[in-house]
Amino acid sequence: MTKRFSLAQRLNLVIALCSLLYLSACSKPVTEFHETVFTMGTLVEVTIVGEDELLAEQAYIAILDDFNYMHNTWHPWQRNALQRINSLLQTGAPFSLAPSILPLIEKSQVLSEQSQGLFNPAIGQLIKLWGFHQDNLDDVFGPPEDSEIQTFLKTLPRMSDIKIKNLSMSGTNTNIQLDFGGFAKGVAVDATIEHLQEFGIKNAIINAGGDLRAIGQHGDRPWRIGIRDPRMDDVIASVDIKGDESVFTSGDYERFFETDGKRYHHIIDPRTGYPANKTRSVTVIHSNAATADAAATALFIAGPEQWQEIARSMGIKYVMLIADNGDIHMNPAMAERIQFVTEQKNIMLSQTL
Amino acid sequence: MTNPGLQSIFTLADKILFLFCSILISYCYYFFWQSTPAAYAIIKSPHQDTYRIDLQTSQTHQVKGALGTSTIEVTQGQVRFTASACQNKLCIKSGWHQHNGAVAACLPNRVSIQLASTHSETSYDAINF
Repeated sequence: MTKRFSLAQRLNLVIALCSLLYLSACSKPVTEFHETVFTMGTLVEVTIVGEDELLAEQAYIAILDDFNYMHNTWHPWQRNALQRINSLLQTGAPFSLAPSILPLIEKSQVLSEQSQGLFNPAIGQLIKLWGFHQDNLDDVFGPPEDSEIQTFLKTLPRMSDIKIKNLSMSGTNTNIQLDFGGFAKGVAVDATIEHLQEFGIKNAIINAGGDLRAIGQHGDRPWRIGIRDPRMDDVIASVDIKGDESVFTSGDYERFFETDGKRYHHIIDPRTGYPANKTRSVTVIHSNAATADAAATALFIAGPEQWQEIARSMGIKYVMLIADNGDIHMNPAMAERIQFVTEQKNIMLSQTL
Repeated sequence: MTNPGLQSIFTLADKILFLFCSILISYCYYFFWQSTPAAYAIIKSPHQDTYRIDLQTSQTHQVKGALGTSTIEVTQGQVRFTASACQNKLCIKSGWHQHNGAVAACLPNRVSIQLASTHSETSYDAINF
């Protein structure tokens, strides 16, 4: 029996064809504003899509001022407002609140407590002892003496040692030296994203040296973020972001020096006084960049055994931790979102956070 | 030998339509759904105008930065710093870069390399590290 396609079947084929054309049309390029600038001690990329170019330019110029102000005010080893606060905290006497530093102190006090002290910006003296209070780490010739570290740990300063009462604050530990390090970057990303939103911008990414917050989406699709492998010159995985989320990674490859063939990186465990050594990198996704930043540091220090406990207490829902032995630890919610570039056989799924 | 059943089912117009759909799907897959490598890099420095370099042409560039000269090498779609006036040499240690959306920089020398593609829809919008 001879059978030919009916008119309806042919129409279906034409509809399928039109659908394909429609899909292609969805991928049309959207207007994109992209600029990079050196500020906050790193390279900051600003991407704005789907907006008028003049508006994007105006918003970009406005947030450049924000970045420069925050960089100058919060830099950990330059003469600025933070240095003045550090000097006053060490006296133990009450002094007037510093409006430019207060938001960082208050937010980091909460995050430090939630992280059980693993995120601790009060240990600036210890960071300095390790030689990380300078741009050029070639001048660091080795780790500090163990006795110096142990002496510091005997009176380990904590964020709770800063007391805020009415319009004044004071320190109760003479070893307090605030160093907001990468946390300042998270706060700066939050502040500048909010400033972009005040301009009416709905779709943007601010990427400060690899740590970013993305709002909205890229045209008709989510933002696509690549996550770099901590040991290879390549991307290990990607994650899609839609809405408003931050992706922050702490890694042992960011700032370090090497002595006698051993690498000493900048993420110091406040419990031991030494660089945390059980983790290569931690990637955190969270709605707030400052929280993501603090959590990435705390979970890096927590390591493969304790990260789940700290993530729960900090309210973090998406974590990927690459351990020193190369094992990839993550929670099920993160596993659902992340797409590895190549198959990974050493994935350790945790309980739900 | 062709299948007589198929010959009787499909008209010439059906066959042309199927062929056209196959070509269209291949086209869409190649240009819209595949991840493509970066095609070019945008070089920025405080002492030179911003410019593009083709990543498919092996070449070496000397870029004048805030401290001195940075040397950038391109080969087989990848780019890297091979020398720089900075002291830490972190830019050199960061190795090769080849993905759309990746950015490499020598912070002290204020020289940056931003990788991009003509097919921006298939690239990473940012690289987290």
